[in-house]
Amino acid sequence: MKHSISITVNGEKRSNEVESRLLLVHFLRDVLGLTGTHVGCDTSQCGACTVSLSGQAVKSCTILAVQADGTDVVTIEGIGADGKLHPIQEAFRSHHGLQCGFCTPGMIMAVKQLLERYPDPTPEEIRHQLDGNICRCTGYHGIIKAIEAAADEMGSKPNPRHKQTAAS
Amino acid sequence: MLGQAIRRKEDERFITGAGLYVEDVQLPGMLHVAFVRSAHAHAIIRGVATDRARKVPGVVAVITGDEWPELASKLPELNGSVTMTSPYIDSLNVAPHFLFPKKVCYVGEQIAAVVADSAYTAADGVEAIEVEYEPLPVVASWEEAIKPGAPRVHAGFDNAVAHLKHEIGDPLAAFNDAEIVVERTLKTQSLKSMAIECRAVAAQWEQATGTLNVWSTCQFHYMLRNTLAEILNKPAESVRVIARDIGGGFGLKGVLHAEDIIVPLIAHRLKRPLRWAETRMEHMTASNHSGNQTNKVRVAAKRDGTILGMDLVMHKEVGAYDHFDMMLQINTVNHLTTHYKVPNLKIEGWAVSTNTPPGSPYRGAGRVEAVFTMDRMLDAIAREASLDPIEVRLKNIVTPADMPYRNGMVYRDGVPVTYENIDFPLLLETARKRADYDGWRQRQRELREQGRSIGIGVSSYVEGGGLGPCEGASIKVDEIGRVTVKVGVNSQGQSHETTLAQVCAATLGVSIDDVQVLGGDTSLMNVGFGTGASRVAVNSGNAVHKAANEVRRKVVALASKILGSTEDEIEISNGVVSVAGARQNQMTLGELAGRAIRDRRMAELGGPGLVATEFFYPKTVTWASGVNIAIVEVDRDTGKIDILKYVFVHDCGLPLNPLIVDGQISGGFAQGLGIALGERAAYDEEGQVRSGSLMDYYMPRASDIPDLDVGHLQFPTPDNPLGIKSVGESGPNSPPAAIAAAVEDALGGHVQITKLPITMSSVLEAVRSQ
Repeated sequence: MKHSISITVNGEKRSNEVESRLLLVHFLRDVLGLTGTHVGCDTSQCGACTVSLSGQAVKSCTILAVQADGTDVVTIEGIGADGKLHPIQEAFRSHHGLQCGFCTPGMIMAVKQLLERYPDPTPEEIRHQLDGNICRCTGYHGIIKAIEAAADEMGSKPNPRHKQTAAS
Repeated sequence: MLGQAIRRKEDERFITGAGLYVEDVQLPGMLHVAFVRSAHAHAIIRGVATDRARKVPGVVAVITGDEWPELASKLPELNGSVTMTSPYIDSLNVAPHFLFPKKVCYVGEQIAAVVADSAYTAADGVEAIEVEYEPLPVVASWEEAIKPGAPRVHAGFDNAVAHLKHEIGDPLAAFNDAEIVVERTLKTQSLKSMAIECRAVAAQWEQATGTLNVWSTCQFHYMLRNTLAEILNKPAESVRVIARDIGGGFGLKGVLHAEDIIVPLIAHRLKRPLRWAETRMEHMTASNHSGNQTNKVRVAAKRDGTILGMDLVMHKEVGAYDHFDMMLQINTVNHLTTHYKVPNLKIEGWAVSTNTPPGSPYRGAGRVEAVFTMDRMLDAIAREASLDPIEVRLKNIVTPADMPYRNGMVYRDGVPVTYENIDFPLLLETARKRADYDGWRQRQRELREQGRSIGIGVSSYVEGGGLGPCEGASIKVDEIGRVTVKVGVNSQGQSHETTLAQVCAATLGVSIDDVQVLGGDTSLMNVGFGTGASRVAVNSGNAVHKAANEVRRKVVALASKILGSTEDEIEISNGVVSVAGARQNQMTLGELAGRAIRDRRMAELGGPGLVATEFFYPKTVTWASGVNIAIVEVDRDTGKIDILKYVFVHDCGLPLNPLIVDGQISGGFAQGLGIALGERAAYDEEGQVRSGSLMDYYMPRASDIPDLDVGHLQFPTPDNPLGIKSVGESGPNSPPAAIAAAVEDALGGHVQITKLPITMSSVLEAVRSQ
């Protein structure tokens, strides 16, 4: 059975007929062609599929497209503004917060929520808040540095606790 | 430029979601493939009922292997990657591995494929297929498989599929002279590489050019191209394999799996683009694993800690099909003695088939097993002789005065292992100081009084990397000064687009912004091998260096003629070619490239254009090395292991980009931590998978990772022009041995940690056995 749904994705209203069983992540990837959101597991451990759904970071492999009807979804493709990178994206690049890049879109969307909740996070808060996102390549050290740098950039002043050595 | 921490050129597409991984390949009219997989670890397939599946809406085809002759093909017997010789192997007899077997040998083995208009309907089709099995007896561990009269994984083939031996000196005499003999049985677990991207393949028959285009997550894309071309009896150029953006590899994607071949063969017949993307559950069940290994070791020593000899017996599980002969065990042998002298040595090993998925390397590839063996035995000597573990190590360490040092091993390329220009004592001393080893020994005693269990563990590794035979690079400067570098390797996150661009920019004298590195596509270079064995920086890096020097030679020759100077006077800087000291006498590299297309003088310089293709053949592998020190606290009530401090001192020669070297060390360390503390691919006695999801297979999260104190030393190799060594497989080697030693030390040395992973329950068991 098909359902009519209407979801605002990256600021644009998208109306489609979808099957009941279609997952939000497959709606984004296969119906809308937004392949930046990835699938890394079947059991919502890895977090590669994280998107923002009406302001909340969710794993888009864990909800159905029909459940997202009427919501406002932001994906990695929509996080920057006016053709500019979001400060979190910029920080991941400057601090080698990615290697293969597969977990990165979900990681960045999770970090967006992390910094909304903890604008000046401690290392413990960062580590704890990343529990739902697995990175196999970096060993997380670059990611943690990137998050501290993004917090400094987005906040009013750098935190002296953060010792940054960004790449040129 | 070389040695600078510049940010990565490839990152922009990854941080914006614009990477093109195989599952992102969407073509008009694309169909999707799903596989019917065996529920049994060992069974004859009596029948596959497909009628119901064919009626499922959206299902286009069901393939059981009888449809076309090419589906009766086999996978290549031995992985055509980079194993060149097998110096220690004296017997090898492996069973053929068919794309569609009549008898399944592990749970999850492919039986049939369903092609449908979506991944959802393909899964519906799989559900509607009924397979009739005749179950056979199962052997799911090497211990069972080598028992007399054990069921055979393949009729007509021994379960012990391969055997090796190696001997140095006179081990018998060493044991006769021993004042101490220590003995351990050391067990290392089977692992999955566990890239966050599972495997995938997409394929399209392109009628207009007669080309089979394949997008693959394979680390060795030329091997896939050549295999498909051979099966289809086409020239290799008729198959194009693209493997550019890959979401992590770590070894598992370095071998061909049946789906890599089946999906393109179906696309070729159906003339429809197809895609298969493995689910995580399929990955956990059916993708290769690294195999359990047991090393039974005896060491003969003097009471002062000097090692006289070692005797090692290895058994390695290689799963249902062995595509790597004994590569992993050969790596264990060649990395076994790490920084130490073992003058007399006897080694014997068996590769044993079981009813589990085929074996594959995982980052480290036998090196973790080597290091765990050597360090656990050094610690065993220390305990037996009541010596400090570092004292025992200093007693046996290879020093700069011993170099060039030959330890008696022969690498997989047939070249004797030789250490040169490495200062092992300095690595150990640096780690000891950074860790405040002596201070912690003091604190350990004080805290023990308060009932706290602190332990210190030391581990040393070597990393033979940069295996040949060779890699090439093709460089072209275009008319507006942009430089394109084509290479025969691909990336699973290793940063080649940046590091190889740095090599080119530095050698040629151009801005890195003008250099673009292209790889991961068999249409770029005729010959390439691929990414594995930590080989790209050494092989491709030096190939880029050679090719850039050749382009530079042409630039100098032509520019000197055009600008009317001697060749010595020509300078190239930031894309401008000039005559030294003459301000006006210059032109851009782009202008020169334009002239070089038509200028007749290029006839003597190899033909038109500022282009060059060069290959680098390493003499043998380079030897990177390092020392890790772990300081841990064990909670005796819960078995929890807290890492209080972790020091990682290493040498990888001259770093091309320190930021990226740090990333390799950090990432490799995290994987080593996972090996130490929890990762394990587990099967029950019926061969059923017990680690079937990421809920069951522990992978380190951010909160598990301690701060890492990394110390960089540089001992450049004389063996290649750039003086670089490998680094990719340095990270995971030592954490398991260092943490095992620290836990054993924390428990007062009354128990032995001989098995990986060291889980909380195993620590509790050890505490309770005291």
